Amino acid sequence: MKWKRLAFLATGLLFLAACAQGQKTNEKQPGGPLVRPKVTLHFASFGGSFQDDLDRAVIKPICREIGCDSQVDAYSGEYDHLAATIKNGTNPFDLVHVETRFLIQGGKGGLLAPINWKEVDENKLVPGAKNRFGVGLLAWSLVLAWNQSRLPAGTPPPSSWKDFFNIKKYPGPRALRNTPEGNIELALLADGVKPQDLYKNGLDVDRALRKLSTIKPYISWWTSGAELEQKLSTSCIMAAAWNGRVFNLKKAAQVPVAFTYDGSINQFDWWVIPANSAHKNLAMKFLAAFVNGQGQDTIAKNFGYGPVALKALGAIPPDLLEQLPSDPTNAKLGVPFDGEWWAQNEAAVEKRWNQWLLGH
Amino acid sequence: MRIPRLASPLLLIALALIGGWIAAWLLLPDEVAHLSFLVTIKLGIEVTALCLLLGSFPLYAALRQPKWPKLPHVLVAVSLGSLLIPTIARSLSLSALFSFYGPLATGLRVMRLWPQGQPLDSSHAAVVIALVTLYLPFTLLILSESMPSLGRMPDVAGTLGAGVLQTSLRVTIPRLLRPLATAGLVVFSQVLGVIITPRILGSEDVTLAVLIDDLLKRTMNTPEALRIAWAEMALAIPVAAVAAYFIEKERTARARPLQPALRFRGGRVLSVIPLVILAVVPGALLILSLGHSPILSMASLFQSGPTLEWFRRALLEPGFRRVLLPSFMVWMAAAAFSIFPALLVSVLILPYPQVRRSFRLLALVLLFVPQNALGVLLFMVLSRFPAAQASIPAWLLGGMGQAVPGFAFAFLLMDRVGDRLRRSLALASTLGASAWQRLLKVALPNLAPSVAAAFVATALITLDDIIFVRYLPRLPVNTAATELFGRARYGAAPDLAAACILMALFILLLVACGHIAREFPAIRRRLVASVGRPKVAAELGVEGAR
Repeated sequence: MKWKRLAFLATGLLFLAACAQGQKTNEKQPGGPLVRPKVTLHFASFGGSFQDDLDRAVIKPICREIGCDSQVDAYSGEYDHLAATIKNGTNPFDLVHVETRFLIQGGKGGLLAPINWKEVDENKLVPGAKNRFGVGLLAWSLVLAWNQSRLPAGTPPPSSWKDFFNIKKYPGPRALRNTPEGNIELALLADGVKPQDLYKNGLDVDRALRKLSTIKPYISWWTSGAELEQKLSTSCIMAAAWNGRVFNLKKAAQVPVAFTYDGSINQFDWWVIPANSAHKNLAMKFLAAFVNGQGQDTIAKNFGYGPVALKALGAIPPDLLEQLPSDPTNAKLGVPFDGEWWAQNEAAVEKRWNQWLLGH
Repeated sequence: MRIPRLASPLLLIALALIGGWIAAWLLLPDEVAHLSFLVTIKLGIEVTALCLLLGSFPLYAALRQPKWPKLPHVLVAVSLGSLLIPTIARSLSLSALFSFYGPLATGLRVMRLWPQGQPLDSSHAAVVIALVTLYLPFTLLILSESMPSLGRMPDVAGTLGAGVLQTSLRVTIPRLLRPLATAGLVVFSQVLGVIITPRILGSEDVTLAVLIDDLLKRTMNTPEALRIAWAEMALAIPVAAVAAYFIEKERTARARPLQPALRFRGGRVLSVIPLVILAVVPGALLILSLGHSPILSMASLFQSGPTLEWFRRALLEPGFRRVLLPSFMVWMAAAAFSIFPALLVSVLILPYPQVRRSFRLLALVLLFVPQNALGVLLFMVLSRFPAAQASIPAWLLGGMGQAVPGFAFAFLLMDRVGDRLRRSLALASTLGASAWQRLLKVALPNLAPSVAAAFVATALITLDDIIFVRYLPRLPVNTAATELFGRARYGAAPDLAAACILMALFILLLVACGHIAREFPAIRRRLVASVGRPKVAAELGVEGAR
């Protein structure tokens, strides 16, 4: 009985304390100025250590500068979920980190608010980082990467996608991301299509799949950065890889990997503002400040992804810059990803891709 | 007379499969989905067959080791322990184990058992093996409930002159057909929803679950994804229903053997095989977490010795610490929404055996249907009620979603003591106990162990779920499972493996605490008996009373 009484007493005290706490937050400061609570901008990115750095180096300082609080949540690119919450009006985010795919589809579907390019200075951005519905967040490339310790003795390192398809010269498994985007392009480049002709008449998907079929038994598919890193370091001789992951393998894991920007497929990740964001103006202010380059060099140093702000690009040491996709020389070696073409054809290509994977 | 006994369950399975197959086929939208359906069925059959093979024979042998009477219990314990490892970590560790330049793949190539230059980790065989390590515990747990009831029957048949084939056909298989079918159907229905394992291993198998995920995430083709989710359910529900029906039948048919089984010659090695298989994943995970290399490499530990650095990092990592509170809140919400309704329902329907039976069947079906399709369908339903989605806190909504399988678990656990509880309540009532007394002194103490077990079960669901917490709330909840998933996306360091081991140890600790709490009255009685008796004897002046 003694314990029961004590438990009741403790519960009562906790309840009272909770009530008092609630009251405290609501009451006005007597005699002091009326402090208006800060607005909180709500961000969404892909989680993990990247999001931590993005928050620490970019989001928090900019929010401090424009006078708001920030909250960053992780999502795993569940665009269907994001689209559904925007459509039914329950989307909580003001700024979302998305890939080109969602930028184009979401923009066409009325899910995104147009960027006010009068407020956001496009001249501060690297070429290509501007879209009607998004501001570039980072630049990345799908590059040809290889593990130097797995190359046959005396064989020169691969230099183009043609070598990626050369099983005799470079025996061993190859890692490819399990999506048609990027793979169709690299297969066509390997099959002799010139970079400038790649999107000219639309991508020749069947030709690309025929080329990919020549190495199908040797392909190890990856879907996330972790798998790519693991495959390139322990399982595959080469990979079509996100440049940032190769950068990380070299820097953090000391794995003897190398890559080339020759024939790389250059893309951006984007900041977008959902159409029903509660703080569109403030989000726009954030983007206007973002293009000044605050903290983007940290992302470049830690993850190898290129800054989109020209100012940030200037602050990066040359030895690091030459490893980034934003470096003008590297950008020229690659092919810009055509998000528009993909947005129009993705559903059909995706079906054909799955059909090919299923052996037909 | 044997043929009808065999035919009835087989007929039921055939009807369920054919019915589900036709319904699913008609629901599927196009040729790609049909091809994916066939691939899924093939994968399901392969994994099921292997699980049955690797589960039934070794367990049969384990039950026939009089010198190792605890072996079947060890198998059950290891099976339960194996379920503590999150699927993401399991798949990553298997991927490291099967790596092309690793000892396993190299050995296979040297022996010419694997083609030169082709990856092992992303092969169809690797996916099948990974899924077998995932679902073998289910097979062992289901079979271990029924197989002991065989007792000495096969030995008696042998003594009476029946050969091995005759004994198998006339005694063993008819008796074990139902549990075998149940285990097979459960594994099969679970394989229909696999997505993380083929994805992480890098397989080109486009299963139905993978196709749904692609349609949702890549092309945002929600209507088509929904149709495929319905098709998956159309196939899974009849399968799960037949499995539930068999479990129900087996529950009532099960009997203790009159005499334990005789020794099975040469069965020791066979009985240890599942232990080895189930030890592979935790072993690989441990090796990965102890190595110095910052990537998941099996060779690292052997090249440069062990380190506990990754465990330290996992404990100190702000990312992991940040998700502790949300994970705890989601777990508590899931536990509350699982346990209280299950408790209420269990007590309310206690006097009605038919209703109890229906609830049991429903709970089993809920547990066995693929969770990916369930999550997608719940998401679609919830999207129609934006007000509810907006007003309920994210952690609560995520917990409520997890409570769907959690409720099923909790109800089944509580229902296990239903018959005993019913008798005890009737007895208490006869002795004049009031309703309040019956609840406090009879019902709750009887149900307490089940409540504790349900609490642990919800922890397991919370630690591995990324569907309900990501899809149901408008704002995703960052739990330990989603943190692992996010980290896997941006590079998996061995701290991820260490974090998974720590999570498994935490659950083990919970299980141990639950066990001690359950056994506490008995332990106290033993202590009192051992301390009290000499004291009483001394007081009475009786020497050598013990």
